[in-house]
Amino acid sequence: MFASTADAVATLHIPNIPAICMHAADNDYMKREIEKWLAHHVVLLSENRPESGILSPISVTAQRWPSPSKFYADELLDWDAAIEVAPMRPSGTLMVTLKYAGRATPSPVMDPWD
Amino acid sequence: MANGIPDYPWFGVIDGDDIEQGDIVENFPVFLPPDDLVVDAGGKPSSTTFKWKEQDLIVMSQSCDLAKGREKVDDVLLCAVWKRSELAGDQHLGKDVGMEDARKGRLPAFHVLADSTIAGFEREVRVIDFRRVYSLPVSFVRSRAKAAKRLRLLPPYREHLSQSFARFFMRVGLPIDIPPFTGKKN
Repeated sequence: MFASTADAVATLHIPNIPAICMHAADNDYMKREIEKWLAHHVVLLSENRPESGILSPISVTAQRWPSPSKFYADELLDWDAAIEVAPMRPSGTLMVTLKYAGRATPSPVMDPWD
Repeated sequence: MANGIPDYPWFGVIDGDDIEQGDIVENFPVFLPPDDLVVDAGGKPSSTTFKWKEQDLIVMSQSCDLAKGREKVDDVLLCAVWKRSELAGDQHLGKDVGMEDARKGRLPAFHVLADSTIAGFEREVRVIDFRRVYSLPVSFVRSRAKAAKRLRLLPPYREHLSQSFARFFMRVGLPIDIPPFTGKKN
């Protein structure tokens, strides 16, 4: 009984390669599959198919990124960010009368090395 | 050009409303609010009196910020410019030793400009006072500036001025200074 049980278990562990694995399948199954995928890939890459754009690096870049900005030569280093819309601030009206006070005069200068 | 050495004039004469850093505008109005000015945002219009004075000024804003039609600032930063003769009564800059300190850059608040010998724009040595800083709207400065020709400080003197202003502005006072080395008995 033990011997027959061992034979049964051993039989279960013998893989039926053609049945469970396409790599070893008859009639060059894997070769046929690869050839089919390659043919499909070539079709995708052909220019007359819209799918070709999927694998085109240029198209992918264009789809993912906006068009590059146009720079003028004198603006290449002009990286300052201008505040286009000033933030809201409290404001009011101040009526100002201007009174001429003559020419400005300098403030005294102290010798900082004394 | 003389002896193969290129000339680097200090000034050029500019006409029009294209303003750049280093433009010197003379007898320009500056407006001085009173010390007791009270403003009420959103309330009734209030009134006050501003003094205004005439002042020679030099444009300190960066030229690229003032490019016509592409301004990146609303106001022009300007500093006071004094003729040397206007400083004659000063206790330090009124003396040669004081002016020499300024010329050598030992007075961070001041920057000395050479005299101008351009025909029609002869000017004596002048001193820029970084302690007197004003801002005026760009359009106002343009409209006033185009009324008359003006001197423009040229490179590299313009960059030298800008650097001096930066040095003045970025000063750092130390809480505990290093004692002076003078007066030590070795």
